[in-house]
Amino acid sequence: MEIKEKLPLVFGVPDASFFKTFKEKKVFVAELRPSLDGMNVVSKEFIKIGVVPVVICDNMMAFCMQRGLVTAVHIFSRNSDNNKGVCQTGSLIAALCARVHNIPVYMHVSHSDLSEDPDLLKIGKESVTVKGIRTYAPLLEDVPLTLVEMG
Amino acid sequence: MKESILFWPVHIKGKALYILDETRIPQKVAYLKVNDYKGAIRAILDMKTRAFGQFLTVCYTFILELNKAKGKTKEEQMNILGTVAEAFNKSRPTFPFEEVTSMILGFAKKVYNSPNFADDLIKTIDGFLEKGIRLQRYQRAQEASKLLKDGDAVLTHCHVSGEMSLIGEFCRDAGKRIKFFATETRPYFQGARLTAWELKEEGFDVTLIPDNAVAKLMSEKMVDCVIVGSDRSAKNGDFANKIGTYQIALLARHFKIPFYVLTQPSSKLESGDDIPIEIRDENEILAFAGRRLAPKGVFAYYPGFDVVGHGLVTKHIAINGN
Repeated sequence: MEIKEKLPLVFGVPDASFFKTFKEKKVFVAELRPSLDGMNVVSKEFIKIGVVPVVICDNMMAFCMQRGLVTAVHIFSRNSDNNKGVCQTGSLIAALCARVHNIPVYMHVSHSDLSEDPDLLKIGKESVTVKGIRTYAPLLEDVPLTLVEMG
Repeated sequence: MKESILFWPVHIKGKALYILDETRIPQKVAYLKVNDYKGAIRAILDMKTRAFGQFLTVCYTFILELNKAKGKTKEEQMNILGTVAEAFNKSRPTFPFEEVTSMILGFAKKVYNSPNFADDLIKTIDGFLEKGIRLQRYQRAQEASKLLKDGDAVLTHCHVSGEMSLIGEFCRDAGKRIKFFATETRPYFQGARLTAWELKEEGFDVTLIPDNAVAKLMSEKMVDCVIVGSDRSAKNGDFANKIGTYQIALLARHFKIPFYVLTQPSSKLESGDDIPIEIRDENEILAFAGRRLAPKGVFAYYPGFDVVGHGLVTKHIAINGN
């Protein structure tokens, strides 16, 4: 599909409170490899509240920002201190690229379940490459609060 | 020097082209037999071949059609070449098909007065590929290898048509041990299916990562430099490559990591703003191997490429050494 309008971008798995207060009609949802929780879990929740989810791959965030298609970025921390939030891996990409493009980043607290230890060599049940290739797919990363809108 | 099969993925034998079907790798190494330009274009549209494979497909298809047109008049042969060029130019928007077909038609004009027009043109194209392009790709890989130090970890994205393993081979020859990180490169998984497989096959230390782990790696100082390829370049040094490259370039700048691009200069386009970006079918994200991955009611947006501004590039490593 072609995208003409500007949309917010959600990277991560929000909890129920986020969906309750969400006001937009359409949203970019990052797919969240390797679990595809974005494409599945997050998108389903948006559909339930009447919001149209437009999935993008995790490597398409900066392109959408560069094209002026993103109004705001929403990421989700499992816990935080005064300096950083611990978010799903890829949130730091979303936040850093948003800063370059002057797009506000909002960090929300979420304790939603994340799919633990999904296999990077598969998508769904299908193998994408041969067995035996070493993988590194960290679940969480730190996002400095300096990248995030405060208050 | 050992070459990966992905380094030169298209071959011609008589009146048939054999195109390495990259969508079947690594499960199967199989070549698609193509008998005419329409079949070659179908292979490109179905992404059976891509990047450098597209370039070879165009060049060899002209040879294929010339082989089939022997016995026809020069005028008829030129008409066929014109038809082939026009069909390729309309096939996919981001790759510079017009630049490649114009070059071949330029070769044709130069040898048009020869009594052996078709044979001379075939020899010219073949010489250009084997003595020109192959050699220049070796030189480019060698130059890239010189930028790497013993113990360096290189992050790469998508697949550079066999050139990353050649860079590794040059490093190996120089006694340098290099580690590679390959992004999986959604949605077509060229990184998982081609780059990681190829580097592992060639005995290199390679780790596959999801596209979303790039900043994590860089923030933990696990990456010493980035090397990517390019599908199209502009005069000012901007270039287009597989979607996700721009994001990596921004991150490399943030984390002060050198960002190198293997490129081929072009004088046709002024800047990256002139490069058209192909928007592909959303089902290529929402399904895999014919099975739907997403729930009903989910849409997707799939830009196939992005453009990296020249200011984000530490060094262009160009095919002609410029």
